[in-house]
Amino acid sequence: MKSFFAILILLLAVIFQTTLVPFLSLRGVIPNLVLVLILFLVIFKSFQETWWLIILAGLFLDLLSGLPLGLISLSLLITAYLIDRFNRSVFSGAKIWLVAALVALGSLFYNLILIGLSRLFILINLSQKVTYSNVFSWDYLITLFLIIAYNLVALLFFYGIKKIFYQKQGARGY
Amino acid sequence: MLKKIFSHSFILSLLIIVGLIFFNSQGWLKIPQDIFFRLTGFGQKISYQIALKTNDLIDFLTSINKFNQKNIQLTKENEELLSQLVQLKEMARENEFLRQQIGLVSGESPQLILANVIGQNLSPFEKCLLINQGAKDGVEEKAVVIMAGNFLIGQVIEVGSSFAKVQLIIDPNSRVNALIQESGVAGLVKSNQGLNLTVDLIPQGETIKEGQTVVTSGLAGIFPSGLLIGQISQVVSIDVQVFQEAKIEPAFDFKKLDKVFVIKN
Repeated sequence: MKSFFAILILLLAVIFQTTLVPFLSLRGVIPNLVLVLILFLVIFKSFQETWWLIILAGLFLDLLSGLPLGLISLSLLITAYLIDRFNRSVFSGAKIWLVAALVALGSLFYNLILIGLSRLFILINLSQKVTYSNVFSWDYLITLFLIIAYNLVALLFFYGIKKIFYQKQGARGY
Repeated sequence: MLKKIFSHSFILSLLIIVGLIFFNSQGWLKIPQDIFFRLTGFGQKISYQIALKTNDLIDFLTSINKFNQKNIQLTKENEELLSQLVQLKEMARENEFLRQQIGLVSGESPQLILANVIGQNLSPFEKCLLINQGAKDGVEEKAVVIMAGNFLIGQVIEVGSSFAKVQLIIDPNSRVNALIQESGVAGLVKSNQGLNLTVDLIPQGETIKEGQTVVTSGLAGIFPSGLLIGQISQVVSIDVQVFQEAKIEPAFDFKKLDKVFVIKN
């Protein structure tokens, strides 16, 4: 039952990512709800428990995007794994500022990995699309900064829901 | 040893994704993709419509104080356009008469497929739309997509049985051969890192001005000629460079797309 709800929430996040979230665009940047949700799950659970959700999330996003299939899934998977390793070895505890730091790091990794993998996909003839032509430009740095900031706002939203949900569970004596 | 490798969740996940990439390259994921779109398409359409209406309402509320000024501006534009329309209708009539005189058959109007937008991807890395018409409705890959009024939107990049993905002209990978209507100067319209549109490769000697209209030129045979792209908002000309470029104000807001037309190939 829990797995069913997890998939449902993921599907909703993916649908909102392609329907509601584009209207929140700022300088061509939108928050990545699915990335933030996955990082949130990885930080509070573990990669071991959530790997199948990460594959599903990536697959859903890949199916709805115009990028080559597998690009988003791989980027999401590698990012989630790295953040899980960071969470276990470098950071520990679930304080909000630590979670925020991990999500910011995850957002940075995800975008860099996405660009790197897209170049690899071109090299092995899986795609002709270049995701970002000039990584070393002010435009890209500003875009990256906005992506991280926007994802942190999305994190506050998910963190708030978690706090409310667990407070209610605490009140019921669970 | 192999059991240990496959029991590692990261490696197992990697193998699954690589497997899916391989299946997709062989075309074996078309049916699951269609099933996925059939299951989620309705929910996406409802969600997108709600988002569109909410966005319109917010725009309306935030621009109430500018209505009067906008009204005056639009009334003036309407009068100018009406005058132009009368002249163009007269020219069309003369054109048809001359065609008949020399026995030239006028071109057929293209067949259009009406589609609803059910989702968008407007990340910095790609700008594309999802529409609810696919191969069974006559949509083909590389078909051109326009909006009412002959505004160019983009090109179909992927087609399923009941859906299609459209790459917008503001996508970083989009390239459109264009013409500046008033001067006949050719150029190439591309997106600047997905942020805005520019028309590039304009020779230095050519005079281009703000407010001039940019349309498709029809070169390379990808996009039909005469589709409206936008108007020049700023000219960037540096003497030492071979070419000059100009920023384009698109003819409409890509975030507010609701219904589009796919030109049948």
